[in-house]
Amino acid sequence: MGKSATETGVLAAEMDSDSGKSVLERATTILACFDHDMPGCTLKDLCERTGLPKSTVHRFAERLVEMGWLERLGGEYMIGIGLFEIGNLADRYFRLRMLALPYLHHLSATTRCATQLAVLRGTNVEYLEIVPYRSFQPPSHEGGLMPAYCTALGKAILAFAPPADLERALDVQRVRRTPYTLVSNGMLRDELARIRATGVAIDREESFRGISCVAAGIGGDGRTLAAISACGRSVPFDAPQIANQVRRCAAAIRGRLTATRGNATRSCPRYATSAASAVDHAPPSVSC
Amino acid sequence: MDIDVDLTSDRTVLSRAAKILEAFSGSRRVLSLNALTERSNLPKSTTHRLAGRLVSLGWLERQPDGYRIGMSLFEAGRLAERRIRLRESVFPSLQDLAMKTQLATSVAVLSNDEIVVLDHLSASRFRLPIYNGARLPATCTALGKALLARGPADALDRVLDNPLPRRTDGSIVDPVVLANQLVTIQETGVAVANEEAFAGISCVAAPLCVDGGLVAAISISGPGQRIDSSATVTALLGAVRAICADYGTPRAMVADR
Repeated sequence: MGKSATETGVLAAEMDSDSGKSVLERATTILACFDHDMPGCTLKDLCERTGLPKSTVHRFAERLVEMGWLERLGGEYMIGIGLFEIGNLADRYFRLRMLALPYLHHLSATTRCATQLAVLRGTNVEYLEIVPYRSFQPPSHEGGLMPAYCTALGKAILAFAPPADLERALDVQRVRRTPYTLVSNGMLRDELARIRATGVAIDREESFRGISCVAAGIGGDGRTLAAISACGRSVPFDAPQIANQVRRCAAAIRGRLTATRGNATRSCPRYATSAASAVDHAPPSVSC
Repeated sequence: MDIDVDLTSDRTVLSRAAKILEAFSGSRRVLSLNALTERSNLPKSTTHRLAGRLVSLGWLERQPDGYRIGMSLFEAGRLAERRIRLRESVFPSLQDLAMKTQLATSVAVLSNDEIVVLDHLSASRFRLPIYNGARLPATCTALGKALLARGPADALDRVLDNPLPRRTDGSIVDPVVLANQLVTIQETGVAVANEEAFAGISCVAAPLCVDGGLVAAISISGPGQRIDSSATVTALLGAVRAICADYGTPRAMVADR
């Protein structure tokens, strides 16, 4: 008995999707070659990094160029504007990014610092938005990760994080990135207690020499743990004054987040919006 | 590893994946399987299987009510080198302009005959109803008209050969009117759009040309029927000159100003 037209169609699609699996995996492998330290890759770089044959890499890279996901400049491939466009639609932190970005622009102008929005991702902070100030750009990258323990953003989040998140983030091999990195458990826990009391976290060259940063938690969207920061060269860096501005800005964002949380996400009753006290500073936790 | 994969098969799979990803938009960031099928114009079974693959690769994320673009695409997209380079050259001037005019400023590039906004900011309470990465029709925006006026001729031909999109009552839908405006923009270096993309928002823009090549356009936007006062235009052109003078200079060599 012959197969029905539908069955034949399903079979054809199945075979197609089998090859589809490897096609998409190879495309993913090629896209994964690019990072902040290596924004441009020659064909040779891509072959070395993927271990794929030159003809395959060339064919895929050219196809990705046609689609706008890669761009070719001279002899180098780089991530294209098409991928920037699609990536921006990532819904997970979309609302948070939209809501916070105008505040980051304003904070950048008033503090004369670069400003950043980050969330806790496991033991790291992930930078979602970075606003440069003039020609100063912090050493961090949008979409990039840093260990939470050595950044102001990470410490601001961890100070108010649920115990499970905190313990996970502290249970990492800590690296002395600079002479000022807090690597001992005791010092780090004292620091987090200080942050709970003051509502702001300060990074005094703990991750990069010559760079200081002040951060405050903003709660976030649902389960998200997020913070904003102002970051600049250590000289001149008026930490107390910048801390006040960051604290005020974070309180304003928290207020907006709470006010616009609406039906889409769970409300968080123990999360006050008015005063900028240290208690109100707590980001909503998983239990909210 | 099969190195002799049929070229059409690569194309088919990648273009289908692209159709799925391109089904998402700023206002439709989570799509049910049905919506994804409809918007990607693929058979439902294909959409279902391909979406599953994309989930396992991190390109999509599964949600209780459908699918959304995954964080790994956000992360990859933020590596877009042209935006990073433009940011270094353009952002300080956008900040200055926004402060000086107390209006919103933006930078955009052409992409498939439309514009993609790479950055926008405001120094006042005025906010543009867009997000970074937003795509808009070139012909409804001052940024787009500035880019078309100085951009590749074939892009302009394609745009003029197709019906011009209408977003507001002010959108230009007559190709003759648009062509005349583009001639003026080529002469003056300034494009104007009065409530042509959003009712109540007007804009002036200028192309950024470096060594004769178009790299982007920058704009000033504000509330009202028009904002192209001579002071605003002068500020815009001043920013264009400042950007072009420093363009491509490694950042370390540009002193903080």
